[in-house]
Amino acid sequence: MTHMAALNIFESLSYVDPRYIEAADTDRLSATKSHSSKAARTILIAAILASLLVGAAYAASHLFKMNITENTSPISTDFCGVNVTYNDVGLVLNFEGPEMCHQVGFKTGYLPSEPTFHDYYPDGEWYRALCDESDDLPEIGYNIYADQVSLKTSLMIGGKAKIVKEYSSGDLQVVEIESDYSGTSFEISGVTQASFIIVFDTANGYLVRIASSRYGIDELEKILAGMELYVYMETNTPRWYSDYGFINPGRG
Amino acid sequence: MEDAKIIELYWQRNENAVAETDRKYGTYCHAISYNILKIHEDAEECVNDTYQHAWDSIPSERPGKFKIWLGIIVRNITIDLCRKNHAQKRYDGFHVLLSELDDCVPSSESIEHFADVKALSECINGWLAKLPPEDRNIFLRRYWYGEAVSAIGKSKGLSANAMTQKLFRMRSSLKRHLEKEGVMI
Repeated sequence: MTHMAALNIFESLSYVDPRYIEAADTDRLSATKSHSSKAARTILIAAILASLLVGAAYAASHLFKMNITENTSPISTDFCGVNVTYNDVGLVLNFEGPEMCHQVGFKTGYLPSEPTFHDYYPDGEWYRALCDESDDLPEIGYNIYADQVSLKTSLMIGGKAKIVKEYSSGDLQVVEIESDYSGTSFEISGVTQASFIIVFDTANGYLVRIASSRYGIDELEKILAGMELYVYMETNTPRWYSDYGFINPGRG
Repeated sequence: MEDAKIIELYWQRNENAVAETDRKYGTYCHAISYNILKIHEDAEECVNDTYQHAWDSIPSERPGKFKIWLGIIVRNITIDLCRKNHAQKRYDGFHVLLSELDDCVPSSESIEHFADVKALSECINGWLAKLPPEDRNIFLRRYWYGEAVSAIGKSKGLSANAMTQKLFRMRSSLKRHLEKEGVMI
């Protein structure tokens, strides 16, 4: 092995005064917070997907849990002091776990069409949201969001929704869903179907969701395969807005 | 969860100890390993081995600074992986860091004896003690945590080039210190 002497120095550094190591860590973190509030943990989705093929072992923590249930009844809830009822909700996603969870940002390697909207984290490097919602078409090209899960908020998928594929690798749980909007209140301007991919991190408590009413699951899988995620170091409690929220690639 | 409570879980042989450790320090451990390896899967393996080590070591050990204790373990496991796989894999971070640390190696035509890791560590510790805290942090951020030169420079308001020069001067200083102490590596 080359660099043997350098390796000895590198290895010896492990045993220097722990106070120095701690001070450097504090310095590192204060710099991280002041500049971008992120930690160096990126996840290449392609690598995760590839690991499914080779059976790579991960020690999943599963601190967080996502429960998906089928729904056939109207859902009534209080929204900002107003009682509202949601009809034709096919699936409801609920979450369990610690209150504190990590934020996540993403980049994409493949998009089937140009985005019309984006939202960055303050570092200007990683996206919170990326959407193609051009107004000249009734369908939504795609919307991609990276969110912390809120334990108090259930997410709904409208229409006659069903899970078409579900798999996991290590901490990541991936669910693919297709929904038939025809004959439901979600059928607007001739849009009769939608596709969804949900990536849920059971260790860090975030959700990346890709939804489209223009492209099918195959296209969404390509988006997913090209994605890179960035898990921020700091944890916090997600803000609560309402008891229910929609994952909805539709207008109105 | 507070460190003392996590350690208590290890003492109780409660498997939540590992989950809580991962939740609180998973990203920290992964960053240390990944900065050396630059391969996520291998870094993840090192982090998992670190948890295994923690599970096996506590309660016989009761770490004072739990975070740093974990950091040392994951760093050593990562170095061991590099050593084990050096013939099969090229770990970019490791290669670059060692190339830079070559500058610290005392020049000697005839090496009479090799300093063991502990002796070398004590000697480096003496050198670190003499550095201004700011420089000490910079050196350890680069060679302990494997942080990118550009990121350290940015945090200190310096260009990557200026930080490279600063680190070079520090490596030269360490080399002189090791030579002065008569350390052969």
